[in-house]
Amino acid sequence: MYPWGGYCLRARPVYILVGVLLAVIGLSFATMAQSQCPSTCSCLLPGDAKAKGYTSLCGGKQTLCGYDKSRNPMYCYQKPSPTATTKATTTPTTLPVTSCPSACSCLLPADAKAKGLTSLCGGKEILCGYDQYQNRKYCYQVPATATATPAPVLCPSSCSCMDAAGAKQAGYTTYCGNSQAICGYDQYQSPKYCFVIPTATTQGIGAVSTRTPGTLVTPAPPTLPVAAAPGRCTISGNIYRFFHDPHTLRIRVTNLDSGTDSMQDVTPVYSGDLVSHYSYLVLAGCNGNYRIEPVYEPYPGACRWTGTFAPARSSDVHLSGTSETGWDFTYVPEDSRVPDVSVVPNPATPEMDQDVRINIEAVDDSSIVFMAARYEMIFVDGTRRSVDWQELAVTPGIAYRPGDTPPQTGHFTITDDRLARIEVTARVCDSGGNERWGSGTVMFGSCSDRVQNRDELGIDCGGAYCPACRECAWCGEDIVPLLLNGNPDDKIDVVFIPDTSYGGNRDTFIDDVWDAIENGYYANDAISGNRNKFNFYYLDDEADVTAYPACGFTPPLGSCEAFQDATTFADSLAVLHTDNFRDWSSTKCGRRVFSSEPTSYRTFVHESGHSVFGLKDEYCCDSHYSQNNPNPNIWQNETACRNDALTEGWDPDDCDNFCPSGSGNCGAGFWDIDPNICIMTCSQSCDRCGAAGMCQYEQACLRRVNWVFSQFS
Amino acid sequence: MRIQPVIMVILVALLVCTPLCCAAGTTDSTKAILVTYQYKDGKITTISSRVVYGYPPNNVGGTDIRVDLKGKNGAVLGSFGIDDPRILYHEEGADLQEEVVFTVLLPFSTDASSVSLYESRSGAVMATTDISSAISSFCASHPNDPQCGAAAKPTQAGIGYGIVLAAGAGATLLMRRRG
Repeated sequence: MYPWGGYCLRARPVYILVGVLLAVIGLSFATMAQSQCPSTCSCLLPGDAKAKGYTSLCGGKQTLCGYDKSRNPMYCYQKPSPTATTKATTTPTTLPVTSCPSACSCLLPADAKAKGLTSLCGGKEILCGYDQYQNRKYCYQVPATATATPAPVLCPSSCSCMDAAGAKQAGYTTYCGNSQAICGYDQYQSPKYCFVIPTATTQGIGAVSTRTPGTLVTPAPPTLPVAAAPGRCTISGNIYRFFHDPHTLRIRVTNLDSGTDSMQDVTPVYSGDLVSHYSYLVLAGCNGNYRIEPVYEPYPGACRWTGTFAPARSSDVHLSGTSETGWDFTYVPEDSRVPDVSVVPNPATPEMDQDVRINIEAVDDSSIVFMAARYEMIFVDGTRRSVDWQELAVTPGIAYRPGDTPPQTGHFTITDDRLARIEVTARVCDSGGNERWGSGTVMFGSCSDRVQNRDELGIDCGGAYCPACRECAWCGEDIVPLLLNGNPDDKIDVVFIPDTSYGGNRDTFIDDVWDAIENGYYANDAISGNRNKFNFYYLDDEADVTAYPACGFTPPLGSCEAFQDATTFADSLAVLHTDNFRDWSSTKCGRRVFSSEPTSYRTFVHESGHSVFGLKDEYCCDSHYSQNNPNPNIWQNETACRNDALTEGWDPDDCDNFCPSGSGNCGAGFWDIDPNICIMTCSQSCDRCGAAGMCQYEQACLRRVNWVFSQFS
Repeated sequence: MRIQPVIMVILVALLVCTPLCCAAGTTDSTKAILVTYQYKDGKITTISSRVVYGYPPNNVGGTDIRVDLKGKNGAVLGSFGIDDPRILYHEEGADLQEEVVFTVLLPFSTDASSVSLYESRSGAVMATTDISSAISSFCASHPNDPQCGAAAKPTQAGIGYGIVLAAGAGATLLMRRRG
């Protein structure tokens, strides 16, 4: 079958193809190890990289550098170099400015020179502002005055020694004792004062923050910074290349002198919307020896990672009167391979109301220690129902091809009916603590459910799953195809016509037609086994039929000629009516037409026995009888019946004089040889078929039916 | 330059589905011969004959009457079967109507000249109809029909193929300009 059906000139398949290519590329990225990007590169999602024009991978390699908030992998992309085609911008670049320490002044270089200030504050160019012409201003050291520098005082325990800018930033607004008592100087010789410590901001050694297990969200940074209490200092640093759930990372601080320890959370440091790394800040006494250790802490729903932390300096910190910064660590994972996760439904394209087993497959170089899935069911009526995370048992799977790494699988089964689709999300953890999410959508439906679902372009045709939709060049304006399997010269064409009793309700009529096809034609084994040899249509206008014996027929489309012209290809024409009356099959407007109630399923098969297969009735005695050569189902004498039986290997003694000589229309008599029940023995009121179910074409009937079918491909 | 892969995909897609478009868009000039008879008092007489666009039915299952479509030299171009049109089946049995008008629908052929009906059991001729005037009348009113001697009309298939070629050419030009 043509994969794209008849809509190749539309753009959608191209997007699908492009999407598939991108997905393949994306999958291939997933095997790369995690690391941070060099300064010449940026850590981006593939889609963002493409959007920003970052076309080259950093170093030409796919380097995993992190995940976004949805756990999509990100990679290092080379920052594009400006090219000759880049349009120069006229917008002046404005850099962030910093306030000058109190011992310095923010001046233009020219002004500083004019004032005799030649020393930059702290020896560095600290950008502190711009003038009206966007000229940069820097912090210049103001020479010390002749006034003697006051001796610093010791802050009381309820206060902290801070410079004014730091206190303001930290929200420390009140001077200790309401006086500006200088308690020390910073590196620029700016004075520091004692500020009252707000109660809520302190977090002493030994205090462990309370954390509530919950969803996988990045912890918010503290609302107020931690400040050192009097006689206390801080130790701070950064944690790099840690790509796991930050809830699982804490900083243990051990006082090597006393042996006591405490735990501290880490705080994410953002670069734009993305976490660049984590930082920590712990309180300690200003004189003492401490050990800083990033450690794993269990957290519900998060992978347990395994790895070590390489200290930039050392794990042991000696404080001698001042705080310490830059005690950084870099995470070194034991396993850098991230598992691949896929959602694999079985069957891949379940039919409506069919149970489906959802397999989660994870491929990794180490064992999968955790697997969970959640899903949302979307029903055909549009309602939704979500099922939250449920952990799945992980079992070894089988590789699809020799040499492939076998997946490790978990599964669950969906048995709900009337589902249109299921959206599944899965996540797994490998033994190295690498976590990966995967998702998939299971589409329900089939190419024979008579519903335009999934990505079908028409009812049960087109899209990725079903055969291409056929154009019905022979249908004209008045015939609507319901199910086409080929050109009419190679198929048996059945056209349904609504009676006026439908009152113009076309939807009800079409439902009835499908019902008749499903429970009438397809309930018959011979027809069902050759269903690809039928085309079904309906005529989009009403006829008006009346009961036997009047057998009235007012043609649709206004005239017999128009009716004939519209239905030239029809092998069988069925008028469905909703009122209950005695049905008939007769020549109307030159064509063989039969009437039926929509639920008279056996009538459709019986009448098709006449109109399509040329079968004769096998009941006595008021039908019309003749030996229908070749492959007859009734014979005009016993000898002919017995000879045929012997040829076919049937039991000649089964030949039955069902229509005796002299009875009704039997003439010299007729024989049949269907010892059980052929649908031609009776019709809708066929008691021998049972109250329910469909009578079959049997033995001699079946031979003729198969002979007719053999003339179609 | 980044658009090149997309254009390549478009070109490949167009290449792949060119035959599909053409196949899907095919229309034909299939025609049927309709001969209408009256069956009355055991005799069949011709009422009319005409040619219309459309496929004929398969006429496979019927066996009571054999229908032969014959060429100008009398050769049988096709033989078909229909049931006795007088039969009226109903829920209590069947009746044989005394009078009925019925139509035989047959495949069109420019060589067709007549239609003959035979009683299958006896082989007796029931009716013979000259249809040459129906064919000539149709061709007179449809001079552009390919089976009436005119050159083939442009079909949807041709139009579809033209669209594909135009799209392909446009995409190639675009690619060159970008490249």
